[in-house]
Amino acid sequence: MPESKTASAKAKRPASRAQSRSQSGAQRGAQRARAGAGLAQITAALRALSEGRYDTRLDPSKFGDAALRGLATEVNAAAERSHADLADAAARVDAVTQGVDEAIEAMVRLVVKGDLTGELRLGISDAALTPLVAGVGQVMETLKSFVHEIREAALQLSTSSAEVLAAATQNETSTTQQASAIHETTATMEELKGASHQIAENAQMVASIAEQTLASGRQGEGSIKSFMESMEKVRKNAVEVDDAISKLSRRVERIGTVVEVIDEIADRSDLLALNAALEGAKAGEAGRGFSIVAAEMRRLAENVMESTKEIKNLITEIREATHAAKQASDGNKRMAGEGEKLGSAAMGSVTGILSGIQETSDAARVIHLATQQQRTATEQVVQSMSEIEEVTRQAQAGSRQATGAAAELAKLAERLASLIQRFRVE
Amino acid sequence: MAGPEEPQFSEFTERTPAKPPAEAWYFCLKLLGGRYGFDAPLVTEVVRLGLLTRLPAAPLFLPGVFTHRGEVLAVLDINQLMGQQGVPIRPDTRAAIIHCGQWKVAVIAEAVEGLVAIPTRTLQPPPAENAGVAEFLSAVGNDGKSTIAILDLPRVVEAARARSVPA
Amino acid sequence: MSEPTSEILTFQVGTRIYATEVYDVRRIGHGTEAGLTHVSRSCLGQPLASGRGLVVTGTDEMEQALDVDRVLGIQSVPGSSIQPLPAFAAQCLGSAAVVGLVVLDESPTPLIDIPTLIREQLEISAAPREKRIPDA
Repeated sequence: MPESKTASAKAKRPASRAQSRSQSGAQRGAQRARAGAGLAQITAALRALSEGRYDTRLDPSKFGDAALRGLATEVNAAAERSHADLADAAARVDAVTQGVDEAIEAMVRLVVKGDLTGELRLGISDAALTPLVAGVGQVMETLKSFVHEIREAALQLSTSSAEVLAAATQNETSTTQQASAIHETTATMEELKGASHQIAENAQMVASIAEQTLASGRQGEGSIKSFMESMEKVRKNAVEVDDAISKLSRRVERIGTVVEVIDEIADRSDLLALNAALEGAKAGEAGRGFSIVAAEMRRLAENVMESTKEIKNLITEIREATHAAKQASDGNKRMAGEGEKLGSAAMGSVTGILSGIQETSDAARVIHLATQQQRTATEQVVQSMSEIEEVTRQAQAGSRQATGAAAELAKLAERLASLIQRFRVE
Repeated sequence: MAGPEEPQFSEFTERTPAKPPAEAWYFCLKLLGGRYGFDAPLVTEVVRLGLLTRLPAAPLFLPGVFTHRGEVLAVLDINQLMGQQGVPIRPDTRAAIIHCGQWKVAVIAEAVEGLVAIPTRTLQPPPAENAGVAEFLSAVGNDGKSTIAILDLPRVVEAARARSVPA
Repeated sequence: MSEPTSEILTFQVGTRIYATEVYDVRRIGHGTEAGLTHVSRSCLGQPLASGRGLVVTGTDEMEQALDVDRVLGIQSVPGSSIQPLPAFAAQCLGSAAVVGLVVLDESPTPLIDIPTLIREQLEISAAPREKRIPDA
C-alpha cells in the first residue's frame, strides 16, 4: 500500500531534482550552500519518512530558497499524504484483519460445531474481503456436499457392512456346521473304511477256509463213497458168509446127530462093560476071565467114547466157531447196514455241507469282492471328504476372516457415521 | 531146620535121667503168633507136606491127610483149631510129626524153630486167663529169649474132638 | 498072587476121586435112572452132572443110587494099600461113611461105604437143618 505512495513519491522526486539543476551556478554556490543545508534538512526529512516517521514535517518558512520551500512543502505534503495513506492502510488492515478473524471464527464454528447451515456474514464489508468470503463460502459449500456424500456413503456402508456381517456370520455358522458335519462324515467314513477293511479280511479268511473245507469236503465225499462201496462189499460178503455158515451148520448138525447115536451106544456099552467087570470082581477068582473080557469091552467102549468125545468137542468147537462166524457176519451185516446208513447219512451231510460250503465260498468271494469295491469306494469317499473338509476348513477360515473383516467394517462404518453426524447440513 | 534126624532123637529117648535135669529140650514151633513147643522126644520128624488129600466131612482144622513113608498121617492146624486164620497150605509147608501114645499127628505151623533148651526152673503151670489155648498147655517156660508155651498133645486132640461135629 | 487083594471101584464126584469096595455096589446105572432113590449131594460133594449111579440095595430092599459124575474103573489092589483112617482123623470126621483110605498111585483115596453114606444123607435130608454136615 505504501508502494503506491512510494511510487508516486518517487515520481515527484526526479522533478524536484531537475529543478534544482536548472538554477545558476553561482547562486548555485550560495544557493548551493543554502540549498545544501536545506537539502540536507529535506534529505533528513525524507530519510525519516522512509524510516517510517511519518510525522516528520518541515517548516517551509524556514527555507529561503523558493525551490526548497516548494520542496519542503511537497515533502510535508508527501508526509501528510503518506501519513494519511498509512492511516488508511492501517484502517483497512484492521478491517480486513477483523474480517479474516470473523472468517476464521466462522470456520472454527464450522469445524467445532459442524454447522454448515449458515453463510459467512462479515460485519466489515471490505472489498478486499470479498474473495475471502467467496472462497470461504465455496469451501463451505464444497464441505456441505462432501458431507452429504459421505453421509450417504456411510449409511450405505453401514447397511452393506451389516448385511455382510450377517451373511458372514451365517456363512461362518453354516460353514462351521458344514465342517463339523463333514468331519463327522469323514469320521464315519473312516470307521466304515476300517470296518469294511475288517469285513474284507474276514471275508478273505472265510473264503480261504471255505476253499480248504471244500477241498476236504470233496476228499471226504470221495472217502465216503469208497466207504460205502466197501460197506456194500462187506454186506455182500456177509451174505455169502451167511450162506456158507448155514450150510456148514446143517452139516455139523447132521454129524452131531450121528455122533449122539454113537455116543449113546458107546455109553451103553461102557455101562454094560462096567457091570460086567463089577460082577466079575464080585465073583472073585471065578469071574476073572469074565472081568478081563469086560475090561476089554470097557476099553473099546472107552475108545469109542473118547473118539466121540473128541468128535463132540470138535463139533462144539465148530458150532462155536460157526456161531461166532455167524455173529460176526451178522454183526458185519448189521454193521454194513448201519455203515451204509451212516454212509448215506454222512453222504447227505457231506453233500449238504459241500453245497453249503460252495455257497459260503461263493458268498465269501462275493463279500470279498464287494468289500474290495466298497473299500475302494469308501477310500474315494474318504478322500473326497478330506478334500471337502480342507475346502470347508479354508472356507471356515475365510468366512471367519470375512466375519472379522465385516465386523471391522461395520465398526468403521459406525464410527464414520457418528463422525458425519456432527456435521449439520440442513 | 530139623531134617530126618532120628538118631539124635533116639538118643534122647534112651537117656532117661534119674534126677530132673537142669533144662529140658522142647521142639519149638511158631503158631498162633507165638512160640509153642512140644516135648522134644515126641517129635518124630519134620516133613514137607506135599499133596494133601482132603477128607469128606472133615473140620477146618483137619485140612487133610498125606502119606509119609507108606503111612497115612492126618494134618492138624492148631491155628484153625483156635479159630484163627489157617496156616497156608503149600507143598512146601512144614509139619512136625508128633507121636504121643495112640495119637500121631502132623502139626503144621507158621514156622518151625527147632529144638530149644528151656531151664526147668522157668517151667510154670500155664496161666489161667489165657482162655482157649490154656486148656491144652502143660506148662510155660522161657528159654532166655522169650516165653514158650508147652503143648500137651492128648489135650489138643481132646479139644479137637470136642470141636468136631459128631456124626 | 499070594498077597490078598481087594476089588476097588473108583469114581468121581465133582473134582474129587473116591473109592469103594465092589461088594456093596449092586450095579452101575445111569445117573438119571428112574424108579429108585437118588442121592446126589453128600459129604463127598455134588456131581456136576448125573453121569452114573452107584446102585446099592437099601435096608428096605429098594434100590438106591449115589449119583456120581463118572465111574473111573474097577481094579484090584493089594490089601496093604487099604489102610484105616488115622486115629485123629477118625475121631474128627463128621461121617461114618469114610471107612479108610486106599493108596492108589501113591495117593491116598478115601474109601467110602456107600450104603452108609446114602443112609446118612437120607437121614440128614429128613432131619432139621442144623444137623447137616458141612461138605468136604
